[in-house]
Amino acid sequence: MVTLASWFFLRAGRRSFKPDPLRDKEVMFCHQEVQEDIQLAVERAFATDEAIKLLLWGDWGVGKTHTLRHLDYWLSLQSSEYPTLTVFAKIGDVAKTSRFSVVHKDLLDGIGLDNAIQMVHQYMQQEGNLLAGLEGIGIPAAICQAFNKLLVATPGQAPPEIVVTSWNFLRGANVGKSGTSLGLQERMLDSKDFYYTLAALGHIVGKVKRKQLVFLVDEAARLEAVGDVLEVERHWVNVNTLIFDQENRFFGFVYTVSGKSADDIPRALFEPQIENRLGNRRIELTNLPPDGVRQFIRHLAENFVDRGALEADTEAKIKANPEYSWDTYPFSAPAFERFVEYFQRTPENSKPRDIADRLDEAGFYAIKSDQRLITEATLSSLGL
Amino acid sequence: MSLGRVIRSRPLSRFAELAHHSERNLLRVFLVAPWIVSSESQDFPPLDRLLLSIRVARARLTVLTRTPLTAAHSRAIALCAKTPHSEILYLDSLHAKLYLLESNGLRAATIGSPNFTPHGDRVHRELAVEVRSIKDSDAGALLVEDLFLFARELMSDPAARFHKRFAERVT
Repeated sequence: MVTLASWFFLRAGRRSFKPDPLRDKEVMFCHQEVQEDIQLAVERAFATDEAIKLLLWGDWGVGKTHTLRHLDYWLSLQSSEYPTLTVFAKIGDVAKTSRFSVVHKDLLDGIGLDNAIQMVHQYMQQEGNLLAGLEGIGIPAAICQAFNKLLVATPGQAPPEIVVTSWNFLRGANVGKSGTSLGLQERMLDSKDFYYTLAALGHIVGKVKRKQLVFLVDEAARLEAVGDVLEVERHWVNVNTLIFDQENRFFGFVYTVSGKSADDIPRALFEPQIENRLGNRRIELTNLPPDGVRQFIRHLAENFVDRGALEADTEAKIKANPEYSWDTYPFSAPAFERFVEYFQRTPENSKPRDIADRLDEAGFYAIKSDQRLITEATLSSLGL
Repeated sequence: MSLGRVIRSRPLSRFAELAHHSERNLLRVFLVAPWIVSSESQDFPPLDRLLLSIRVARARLTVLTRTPLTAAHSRAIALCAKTPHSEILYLDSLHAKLYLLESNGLRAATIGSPNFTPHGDRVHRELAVEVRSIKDSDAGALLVEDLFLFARELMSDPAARFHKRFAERVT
């Protein structure tokens, strides 16, 4: 069966021209200027001994998840200059009554109980008393106690029930009466408690690993659902205000939010008190300008196409095709310009996802016309 | 959370409903089925509802079906062809049934045995599985993306021929 991959000599494992945010996290196909802004924010945070706090927003398909994945990758490369421990989480289904626990659980799961046990033991060896250390930075007693109970476990061995209950309490789960019998509550509900749990973890990671704990949280647009119930919305606003407050030097936090305009940012994240705290660390990803479209397509071709195989293939005979130029592949030169022009005329569509979709469609139309290049005729039949 | 779920009742009505709920952000819909029927002569609203949602959203519609041999099938294809931003291909060896949609914030697929007909929706004993994802690259999103590509690969079959390309206008 003819596929986009076989027809256009895509590299092994590639099925189309569409990038995958996780798989392709090493490459920024576009938005280089946004990446520079983000890197500057990271530099500034480390220079001033603050936590990395950012809100990346823009329309669906503009590349926010990819940018977040790339930030994760970039931080891993900069570990000597900007030592971080990153935890990536996506906000899933959010109901009207969902509290921060819907995200919080994933953040703690990203660290894991085994790691947490390891770290509290290391903390005791390196820093001394864990309870005193946590109380010293203002963590409430119940949360200090829950962390302290992790010390009952032996690193590398199955944790006893008391440790699992304490960890579940810290994850925001309802631990029922077994929680109260340990001196904890049945479940964490207060917005401050979620923040303090993350702050305690950030403190422990900072002391033990000498790294900044950074949570990367994708798809915060889901939070618009919580705007319907005032009490729930206040809860989210309170947690987010604490997270983005300058008093929070314990852990970094990066949210992505989808929306066509700033008005689409959920109120759980767009309260004046949060906005004030974020300042210029709210970064917008916009649709691509014409040069951005050009650059995006070129980056796709350079990273996805096996140029050697393409030019060597005796059946495709691409090098013998007078319309072929690597600089515009998989288009002929005039078709490349026309494709870019289309997105110039319809800037509302010039998002990486839509461009990649149209490129795949054009590739398919080229296959159906038995053309090894996407030509102007191909684009005409697509209505571009 | 499981990757997909079995839909036990009216899978096509449900798919049309899903498109309706995504209407504000609908981007593209793929209908791949040997038989497609509209509601003109029978009480079967999913196709009309689906096409209305596509028009409202100015989304793109791709249809792969067999060459119509019945009046009901021809009428359904004529309706699809009238939908702006639509393309239609015929592949007479088609047996797959695959209904896909993508909107800003949702990818969904209904795959299984039902044709896009009243019998497929509520008479025959069919199997339909729905996959949905609101995320960019979880297992569900990747599966739906793969199904979009698979549908394109079916259309790349040399025997598949265009009835209507995106650029053509039918009034």
